[in-house]
Amino acid sequence: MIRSIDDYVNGKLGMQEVDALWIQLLRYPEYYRYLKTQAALKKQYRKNHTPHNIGLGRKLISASTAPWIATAAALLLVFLLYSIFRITYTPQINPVMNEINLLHLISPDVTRSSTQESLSEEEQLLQNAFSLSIAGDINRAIGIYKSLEEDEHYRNTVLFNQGILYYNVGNYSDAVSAFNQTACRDFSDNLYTEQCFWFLTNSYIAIEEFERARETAQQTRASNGIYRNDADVLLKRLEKHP
Amino acid sequence: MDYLKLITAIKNGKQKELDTLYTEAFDILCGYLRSTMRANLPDAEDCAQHAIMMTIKRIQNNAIKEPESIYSYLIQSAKNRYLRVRFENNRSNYQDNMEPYIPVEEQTDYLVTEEEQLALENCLEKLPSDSKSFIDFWLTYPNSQARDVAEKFGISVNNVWIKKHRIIKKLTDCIEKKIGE
Repeated sequence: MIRSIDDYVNGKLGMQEVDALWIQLLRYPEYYRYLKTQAALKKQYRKNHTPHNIGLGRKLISASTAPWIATAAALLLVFLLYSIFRITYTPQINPVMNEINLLHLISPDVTRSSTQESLSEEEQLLQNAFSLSIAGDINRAIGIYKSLEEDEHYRNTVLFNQGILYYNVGNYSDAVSAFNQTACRDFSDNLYTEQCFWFLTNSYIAIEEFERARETAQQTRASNGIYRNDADVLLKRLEKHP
Repeated sequence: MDYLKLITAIKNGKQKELDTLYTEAFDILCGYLRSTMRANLPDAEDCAQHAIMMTIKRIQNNAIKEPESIYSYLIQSAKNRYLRVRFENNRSNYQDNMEPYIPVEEQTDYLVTEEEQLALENCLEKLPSDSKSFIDFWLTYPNSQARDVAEKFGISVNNVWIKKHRIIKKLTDCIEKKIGE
């Protein structure tokens, strides 16, 4: 969604894609405000600057025909900036995971069907949502998960799965909301409990809620599972963070 | 807009919740018509209201089979209504091949009010210098790729998006706060 908004503001979408984006904006109104901020930024910068209509990398380098004096001055400037940067730089804390592997999505045990026992309607929906997620149709998958939210038996599963999908599309606020509503301790399998706390920790970090991230990282560590070491390292980094 | 909340609010007559959802959808539909087709404000408001009322009626009549289709129905309905209004207003000059949309690169220019633009200007001043230079770079080179930005700032591509998301979110919150003051 964030990338589509970026493309829209830069005029890189076709009209069909534009309509598809507006449909998503109706669904997730918080991104409408996000789009407006980007649009305002673009206007603001157009007022103050002349944008360079080239990318970086080779084009920019080959466009440069500056004499050697300018090169030397630039090198000096880079050195000075680097020196200042070294003095003032405070490391940023970023999420440990770039994305969550979709194999962590909880799906029904389909192997049962081979024993002639058919899936229930809800299990069939979960299975469909899982397949859609793998196929990359995230919006439809989330729609299915949402339709099962009121079902007490599947609520935890669908919230957990939604959290993963939101995280992977960069919608970290909704990922936090979904993982937060998941009763992590209610999972019968301790692995899911630990993952639930760990994914929530990373989501908190993405939206810079460091205090809460610290709490959930401690809960991850207390689960004493596969993420314990990662949680330890992260907690140490968080200790140094102001 | 959460369609489950919308359906529940309509069916249970929860007026307060319905008002909130209505306002949200109304603003976005007006934004859509004003930016993509440069509708004037009165026409955009009329068409947005019409689209929402039609959708509510369909929900009340149980005519929406797939709840997910509510969003595209709203957009389509607002668009059709606006094209109809435009046709009625320009009947004498109407041509079948008239392009209903303005060029995509110009569309978002019509989204922001002067008040919002001013608020952004103030919010930008409060942004830490590293965030300012990050956004400045991104906007100065609009065609650069996330990987270029990642290389320039010595961070991973994923963190480029996270950093950008955080900054825009901060600015969005700041604008809202300023307008609410």
